[in-house]
Formats: sequence, C-alpha cells, structure tokens
Amino acid sequence: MIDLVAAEFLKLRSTRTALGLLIAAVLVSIVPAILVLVFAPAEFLEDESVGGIGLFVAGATIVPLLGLVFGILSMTNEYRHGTITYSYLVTPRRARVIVVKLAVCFVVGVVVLALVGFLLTLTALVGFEVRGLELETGTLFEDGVALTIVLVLLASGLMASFGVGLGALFRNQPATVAGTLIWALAVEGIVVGLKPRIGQYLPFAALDQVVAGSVSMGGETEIGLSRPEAFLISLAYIAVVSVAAVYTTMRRDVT
Amino acid sequence: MTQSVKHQRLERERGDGVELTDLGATPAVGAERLIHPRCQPLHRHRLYRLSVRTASGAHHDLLLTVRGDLDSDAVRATTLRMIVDLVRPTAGSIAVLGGHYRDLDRPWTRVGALLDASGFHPGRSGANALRVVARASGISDARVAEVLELVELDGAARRAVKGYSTGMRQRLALACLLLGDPDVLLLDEPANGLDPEGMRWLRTFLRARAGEGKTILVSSHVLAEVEQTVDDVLIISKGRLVAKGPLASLGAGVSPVVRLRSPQAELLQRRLQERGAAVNRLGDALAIRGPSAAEVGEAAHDSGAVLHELLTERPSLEDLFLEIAGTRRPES
Repeated sequence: MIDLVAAEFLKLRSTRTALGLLIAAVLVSIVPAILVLVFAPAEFLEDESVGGIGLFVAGATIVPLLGLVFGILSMTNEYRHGTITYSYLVTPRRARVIVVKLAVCFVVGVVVLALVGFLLTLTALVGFEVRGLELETGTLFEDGVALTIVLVLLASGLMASFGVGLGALFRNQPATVAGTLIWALAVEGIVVGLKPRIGQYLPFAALDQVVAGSVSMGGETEIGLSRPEAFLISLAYIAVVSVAAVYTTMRRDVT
Repeated sequence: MTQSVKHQRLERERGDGVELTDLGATPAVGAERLIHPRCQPLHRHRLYRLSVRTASGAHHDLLLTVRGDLDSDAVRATTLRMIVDLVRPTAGSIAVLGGHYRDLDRPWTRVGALLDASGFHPGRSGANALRVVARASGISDARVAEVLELVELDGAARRAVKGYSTGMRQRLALACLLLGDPDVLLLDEPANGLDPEGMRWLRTFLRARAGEGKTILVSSHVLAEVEQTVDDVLIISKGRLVAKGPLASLGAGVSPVVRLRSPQAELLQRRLQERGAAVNRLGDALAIRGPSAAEVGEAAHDSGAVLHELLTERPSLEDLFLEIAGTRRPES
C-alpha cells in the first residue's frame, strides 16, 4: 500500500495537471483578496457586519470546486491516456488502486485549501498593516472556530475524493468534468432556488454549506444545515460514490 | 495437406476444444473454457483450452494466433488481457504460474505484459513513466535506469513521452515490461510501428531474453516477422488449437515451392503438369508444387527449355499457417 501511495504522489508530481490546478487555486484565492484589500474602503474591511471579510475570502470558496475537478482529472486521465492498464497490471487488486487514489486526492484537497488559507491570512496581515487598519482576530478555540476550520478543510478533501469517485464511475473526462460542473453549478442551484428544503440535501449544496457556512436558500433564511450536519451528509454521498466506483471498477474490462 | 502435417493436427473435441499438455507439468500460462462477449460472436460455441509452458531449463517462444478472416486482433488482445486479469471471462478461468494473476505476489516481478505501447501519459518523461510503475511494484529507481539503458532510451529518458516516435514508445513499453525481470513475458504485436531497424532490434532483444530462460508468448499477425524470432508455434484457428511444435518440424510437412523463369514457360508448364505437378504461371514465371528443383531442372532439359532462374522456396510461416488452418486459396 505504501508503494502505491508513493507511486500516486509521483504521478501527481510528474505531470503539469496538479501544478496547474495548484497555481489556479492560489490565483483565484489571492488575486480577489488583494483587489479587495487595495480598493475596498477602510470601513468596509473593518466592520464585520458589512461583510468585507466574506468578500475577502470569496475566491477561496472556489478552491474545493477546483479540488473536485482535480479528482476527476486524476482518475479520468488514467483512462484517457491508457495508463490505467499499467496501474491494474501492477496492482491487479483494483480496489486498492481506487482507494489509494481517493486517499491521495483527499490529502491533496486538504493541503491545498490549508495552503490557500495560510496565504490568505498572510495577505490579510500584510494588507491591513500596509493600509494601517486594525485586523480583528479572535481565539482559535472559541465559538467553534477550530471545528469550522477542520470541517472546511475536510470538505475540501472530500470534494477531491468525490471527483475521483465520479471519474472512476464515468471515465470519460470531458463528459464527467462538464456534467459535474453543470450539475453542481446549474442544476443544484435551480433546485436549491426552487425547492430549498430538498435542495439543501443535494451533494454539492451540502458540501457548499460546509465550506461557505450557508447557501442562498431561495430567500428562506431559516433553512439550511449546520456545518456538522452538512458534513455528515457530504460524507454519506462520497461513501456511496466511492463504493460504487470500486464496485464498478472491479467488474469492468480494461480494453 | 501432407501426412506429416496431418499427424501434427490435434484431435478436435467438440465443445471443449483441445488442450496442449506436453510442454511441461505445471503450465506457465493456462486457460480453459474461456468465453468473453468480445470473442463469443467469433468463437460461437468454440471454446478452447490452452496451456503453455517452457520445459525446465529450456526456452520456448510461442506464437498464438487465429485465422485471419476472423477479427483476430480482438480475439488475440482479449485473450492476452484475460491472462493478466484486465478482462474477465464471463465463464471459465485462466491461470498464470499456477494461479490467478491477481493472486500473484508483486505480479509485475513475475509476469510482464506488453499490450499497448500507448499506455503512458504523454506529458510524463520516459523515466518518470517507468518510475511510476516501478514504485507501485516496489522496484528501485536504479532498475529504471538499467532497463532504459537496455532498450537504448537512456538518452531520451528525460524527454516527455509525447515527443517519442512510435518505435521509441514501443521500446519504452519493452523497458516497462522488463522492470521486474519477470520469468513470463506476454507481448501483443510487439513489432507494431517499428521500422526495419527497430524490427531487427526487437528480434535480437527477444532472442536475448529467451536466451536468459524466459518464457515469451508473442501474439502477432505479422507472421513473416514472427517467423524470424520464434522457436515453437501454436496455431489457433477459429478458437481451436490446430497445430503446435517447433517451427522447423511443422515446416517439414509442407512441400516447398520451386520457382523458375523461362522463355518457354508455357511449354514447361504443360510438361510438368503431365508429370502430375501443380503449376501456376504468370508470364515467364512458374510456381511448381510437388517435384524437387532437380526434377524440374531435368524436365526442362528433356523439354529443351532454357532456364533463366531456378530456386526452391521454403514454406514461410504464413504458408504453414494457411496450410494447417486449411484456409489456403488457390493461387491465381
């Protein structure tokens, strides 16, 4: 298993896909944050009730979605380029290949968001200092902040694993990426808007509620899951997709 | 078909096909009652059992092929993929080195398979492509450098695979095959895309591996190329094993063709046909089956015909295949 994990990390390091997505994750997070720091009025940033901080981290909420795409690419690239043949020749117990990929992408999803979070914090500290503003800082272990951070990081990892599961199920790269993004951004958005009580339980809406803390529920503010609830629902979805991915992978022919 | 070839035909068993059992006690590769949706329409109710084994200490290169008018590519590829568990038969079982491929401990160090030379990520360097496989198999990076040198790709090891020629990719696939130094090598169309120089290199390469005592199973429809490489042949037609044995002994049963050129070709054709020879003529060239070159020369002398060329052509593996598989069409 350790050999397989090492091989999986080497796969990531030896192509540009992972590096490209990492750069994209940093750019979509840091660039909007810097723009907010440069152009937003001081009171907008200092007054928490105005939501300036929310705008500051808005870009980072896209990172889990990039993790999802990364997961899909890491699995479907194997089919697209035929490397899956060697993967299964070397490890004919195919479930191991999928499980290791799920785990490695989970770790990557967590680490990338953690890195982005660290860079955002650094950017905020430097930006507020440069503008001579006061940055309100709380305590990590107050008001469930630590739990929130952990859940958000885990959700980011789960999104990447979810991508692996979807990639293993559908195999066709363009169709899986396009289909998943359309489902996540359009279909679920419409369902959440029209039927929020149902929509809140959909997979990406649940993950979104873990990452963003809430989603727009068609104006019904009382609707929405708590972060732990949303996390558990997300976990259930990923478990089902992962089991289905392993099950189908073990039975499919590699031709 | 000559008597000796008939002797080498194995008895056909309706339904169960035939089994090759006399190459060793423990099969290196064995299969029985294989069925797969991709093969089934081609093999309808023609199941076969196949066991291949090198004798202890000796080496055998084996050719697995099927009749050309079937979709032989699909059958060959699917059969090899069944051996290494990439394709699951819908019925029956297949074994490598006495068990399922998936049950082998570190299988890439026991069995190597070249099924598709395009199985590398185009953006990955040749060395990294091998390192990925090596790492997953617990093989050291030092071995990667060794096999790259062996296939003469050490100079291109850092280049991305997308910049490789077809021949280079084929050699990279061969290097990958050798990473674990396995005892059994399975190769599907190894000469695909190789130029004449590459083909010569491949022949030398396979001969060297066979000389090391490895079992090499080559599946190919390029019979002229295979003929220069293999020792032993299995001929499978319509999903049935119809002949097996050393190439030389199989060829002994097929009569050679005598070819000649003569300005009196038409006269000579009549004379030879009167003596019972099967003769085909194209302009001033004759292809004669039956009599030896000496007998043809004497016939020409008796007829007063001038010969510009006289030679005996030994049967190629293709001739052998067509003869044994019973698919020879009359020469036009």
